Amino acid sequence: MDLDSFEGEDEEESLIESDATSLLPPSISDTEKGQLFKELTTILSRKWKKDKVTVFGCSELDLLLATRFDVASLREALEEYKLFVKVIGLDLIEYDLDGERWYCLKSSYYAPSELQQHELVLLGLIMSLLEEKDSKRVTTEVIKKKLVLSGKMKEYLVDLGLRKLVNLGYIQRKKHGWRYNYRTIIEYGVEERKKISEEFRTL
Amino acid sequence: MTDNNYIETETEASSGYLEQASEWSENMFYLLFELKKKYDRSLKNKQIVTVHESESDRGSVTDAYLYLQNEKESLVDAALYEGFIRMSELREKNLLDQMLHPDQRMEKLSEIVKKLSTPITYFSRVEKFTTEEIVSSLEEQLIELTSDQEIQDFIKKYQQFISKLANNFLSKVDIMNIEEQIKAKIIDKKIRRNEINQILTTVEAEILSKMISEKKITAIQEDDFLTFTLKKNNDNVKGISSSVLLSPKKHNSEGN
Repeated sequence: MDLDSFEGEDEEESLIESDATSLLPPSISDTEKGQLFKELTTILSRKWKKDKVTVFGCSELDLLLATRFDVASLREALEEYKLFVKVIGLDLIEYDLDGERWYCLKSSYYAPSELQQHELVLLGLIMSLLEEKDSKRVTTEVIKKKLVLSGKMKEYLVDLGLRKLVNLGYIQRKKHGWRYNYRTIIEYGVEERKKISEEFRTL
Repeated sequence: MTDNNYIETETEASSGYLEQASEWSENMFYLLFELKKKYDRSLKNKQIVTVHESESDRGSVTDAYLYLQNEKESLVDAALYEGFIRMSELREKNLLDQMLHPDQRMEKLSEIVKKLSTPITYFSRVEKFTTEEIVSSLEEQLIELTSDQEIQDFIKKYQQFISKLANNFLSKVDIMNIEEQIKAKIIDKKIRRNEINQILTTVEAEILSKMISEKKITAIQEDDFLTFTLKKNNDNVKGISSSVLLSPKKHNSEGN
């Protein structure tokens, strides 16, 4: 579904709401619910690329269009789905992507990471630089100064790692240097980020 | 000594103590301040203060908290202790850098980042058709053949499928016959590589490949020409490849 074609989210929502009142049955039967949950699992566990950045799951707008629910009943259904997947150790989480609300699944305990060793180190270093209270601009030069000049990593590996981190949705380049993208915030909580920054302080 | 005298000397003594104490506290604050400056400077320049020196510095300011009079002085004390901690970290890091290979250190650090993450879950799926789906899409038709005549008619009707199936199996004699045919066609002749497609059928090409790999025939390539010989003496040939893949065009008379 092409989201760019829609100009305003609010307009779209109100349109769906008016549509849904005539289409949505007052309560959903159990079989329908089963079917809905099955499809939700498929949709929310997918990984795909949007504007060259990896994204997971689905936006709320897409879900609204697909289910033809209004916002309140969709969120209610998702709440119920959240309890349903909790049993198998998954967690339904929402995140913000360019001002839109998105949903995806996260493991409550452990799942293998997509990142290689040098990318993990790079991410840790960027975290430590960003978590510092008096942090200045985190630029590529600063990162290279820390890793390349001390002979810990080759320059091309840093470039490659940064590119991959951008593609996988961990970091993004802003005017004032590197910033977290949605994925770092999802995968690393505040406590974890603090711990990592402490460990990397001495690097 | 009168009581008054006694009181006077006591007040004198206590005022002396107080003066001394304020002097000490002043000295202590001065020492704290100087040490803080020293550690800030060396941390900034990444100069390592040895364990011995650091410990003696720490020993000299252990009692400092007893003499501190206001919040500002306490803050300086706290900042100095942070300096001690940071210096200890710097020393440790320096030691690790000397002891471990950079790769090992990177590995340890990456482990920390990896352990602390709970990644997003996704199921990577490749589009697949299971065999069941394909089979279920095919329709089965049951044909009942009761008499011999019907069976004969059925075989006659679908003769082409049955005969084709039979052709796929070659007996040993067939293979030997084909081998002879191949020998008659190509042995001791110079053939262009492109032309060999026209000369051989698919089955013949396959058997030729087999014969070459079994070293019954030797194929020698010179520029664009192929020569096939029965000689096994390959002293003049430098590079030998035992496997040959031929892909002749489909002939009208496929099979034998």
